[in-house]
Amino acid sequence: MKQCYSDEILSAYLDHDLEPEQIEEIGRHIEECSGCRSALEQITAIRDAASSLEQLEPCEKTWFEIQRRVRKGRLKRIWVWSGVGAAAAVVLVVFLVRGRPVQVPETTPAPGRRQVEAGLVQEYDDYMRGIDKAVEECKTALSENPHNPRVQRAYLEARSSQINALDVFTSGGD
Amino acid sequence: MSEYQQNPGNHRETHPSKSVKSKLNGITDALNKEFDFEEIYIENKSRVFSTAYRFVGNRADAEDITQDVFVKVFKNMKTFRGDAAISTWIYRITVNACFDFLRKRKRQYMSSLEDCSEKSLVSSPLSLGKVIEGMVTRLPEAYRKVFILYDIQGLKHREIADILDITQGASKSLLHRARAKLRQELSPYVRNRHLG
Amino acid sequence: MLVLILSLFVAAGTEVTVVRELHSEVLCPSGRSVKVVHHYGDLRISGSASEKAKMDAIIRVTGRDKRSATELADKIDIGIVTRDETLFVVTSYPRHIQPCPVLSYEVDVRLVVPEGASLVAHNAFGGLMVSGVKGGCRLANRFGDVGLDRCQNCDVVSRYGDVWVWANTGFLLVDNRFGNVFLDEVTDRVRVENRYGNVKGTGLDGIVHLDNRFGDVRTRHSRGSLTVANHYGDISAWVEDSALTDLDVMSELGRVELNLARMVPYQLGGRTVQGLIRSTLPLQVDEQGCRVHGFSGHGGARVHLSGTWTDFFIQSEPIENADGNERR
Repeated sequence: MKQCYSDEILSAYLDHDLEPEQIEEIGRHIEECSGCRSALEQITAIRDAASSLEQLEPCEKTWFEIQRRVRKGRLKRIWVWSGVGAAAAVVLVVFLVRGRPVQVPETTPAPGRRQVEAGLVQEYDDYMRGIDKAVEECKTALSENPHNPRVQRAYLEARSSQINALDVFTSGGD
Repeated sequence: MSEYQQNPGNHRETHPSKSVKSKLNGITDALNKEFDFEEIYIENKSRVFSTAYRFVGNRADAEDITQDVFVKVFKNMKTFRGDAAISTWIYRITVNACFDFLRKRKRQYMSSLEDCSEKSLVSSPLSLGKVIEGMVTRLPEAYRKVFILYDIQGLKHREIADILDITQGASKSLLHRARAKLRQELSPYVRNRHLG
Repeated sequence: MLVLILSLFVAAGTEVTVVRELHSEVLCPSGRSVKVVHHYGDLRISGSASEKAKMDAIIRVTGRDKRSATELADKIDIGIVTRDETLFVVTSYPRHIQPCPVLSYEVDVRLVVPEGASLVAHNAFGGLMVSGVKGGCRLANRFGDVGLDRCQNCDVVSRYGDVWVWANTGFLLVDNRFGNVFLDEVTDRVRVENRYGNVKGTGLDGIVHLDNRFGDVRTRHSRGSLTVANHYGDISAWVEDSALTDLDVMSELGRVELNLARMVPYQLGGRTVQGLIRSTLPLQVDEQGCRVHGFSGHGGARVHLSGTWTDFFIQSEPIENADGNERR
């Protein structure tokens, strides 16, 4: 079947991407030319079939994986360990060194300052023990598997946390 | 009257110091950013995944690309200037991510259809839409981008020009050539079926 | 059936890396238990409808020379044994490995088990990811992240890593230290105890109890009954879904932001000692700023606040941070 206009021109005609005179001319031609008419029908079908393709949804696990990748880069364990440990140290320092004694009203039974201090000291001790344990475990693993990148990273993180927490404590939380 | 009752504000001096508060606020700020990001993901996930799927032709790779895109969106959220719609920006990242992905893999992707050969197209009752999905992955890169964005994703030429950094005229021209190429590729299918 | 593939990489410098793959498939009728013990690598376990257990592992050994690396790679084994209705998968490394400064070995394991199996998995120095296991999971991990995805009835103990849980049902117990916990669309009974890290929960639904120390807790889109207790950190909680029936917030030495969405009813009461309560909503706050009560609409969530050495901020508008920048 002879086709007078190219597929590109017919596609442009379909989208009205031609001059008005051209559109009119092609419109008249199509009524008479079965080749061009057939080609236009096929191009229209392609366009319509493509536009009716459904929008697809990623599986739900994709969001989970994105969050994991995003947080892996951002929430560095060094900071979190030492950050919260440092927070504990500063809170402790504030209470032990800088805090002003406050009288708790008789009518309001509540943990007083001393109780809070004692609790914080205990928490801080637990924190440091946990970090020390991490350092020891990593050292043992490094002795078996010295070049393993995961073990090396874990060891460095544990040591950083240890140093940061002690540093904050001894510097008085500045 | 106790000191507390005389000076009720004083007890706050023994609260955690500012440096601790700002550190803790930093965590909360980071979490706030995550909530904004979650909304961006919900609004754009279909666009990104559909576009990626049409480029690479299979779900698994489209999932990987979707992850890459949104990780990049998250990392660059602060630097997004707001000089275009956020969806335009994300489309741009998606199209680039698709082609980076394809270049790394260095192989032509076939569609998720088992077989796009002429024989199977004729014998199996596939819809035209499915066939087009497969054929799109065979289009040259420039045609494929515009066809997917215009005819499948429904964007306007103005938006596509923005995303691909081309003129609207170029976008239209590439689209028409893409359709022409597809019609050519689909001719064996057409010979044995009625379209539409 | 094991298929061994040996490939060799010549890395930069004097290191040589040898890669070996192991594959295995065994019958695992439903109702069986599966116990996995692994370390020095990632462990990924997924549930499937099949009654087979499939294992794929990649062993990587880096050594000073090809001969010693290959020798070690050959000695690393993953034993798969069925005993007393339990399938054991255990990674074993040779006992006496010649110390070598460039020596590194790791094994990444991917395991597919019947989804109805009851799973026990231990890992160290690597990630532990479990997906689609519905027969119950008991997981223990050290120095790596734990990821749970669409599992049921899980008990996680983790140290020095983050815990991620998504779309879990049944009960969930998480005991984590030195890391963060992220919960997304987790339902039924949930109990999280976390220390030295943050907890973030989104879409929690059921009876949920979050207990955290030295870190922040943030919850959004919660439904059902939620209790949040935090010591030495901040809490940010939202009442934004009318399906949230109870919200209990307890805080010691921290700051609590409570966001009450408009048009969502609530009944609120609270008290803080050695702290202040502030609100931009029309709630009744006493002169000393220690007690608060109020309500909006009919019924709604019962919100109870309790704090010591804690300030409370209650509002439904965007909150200004310390820098004066608005954040949503």
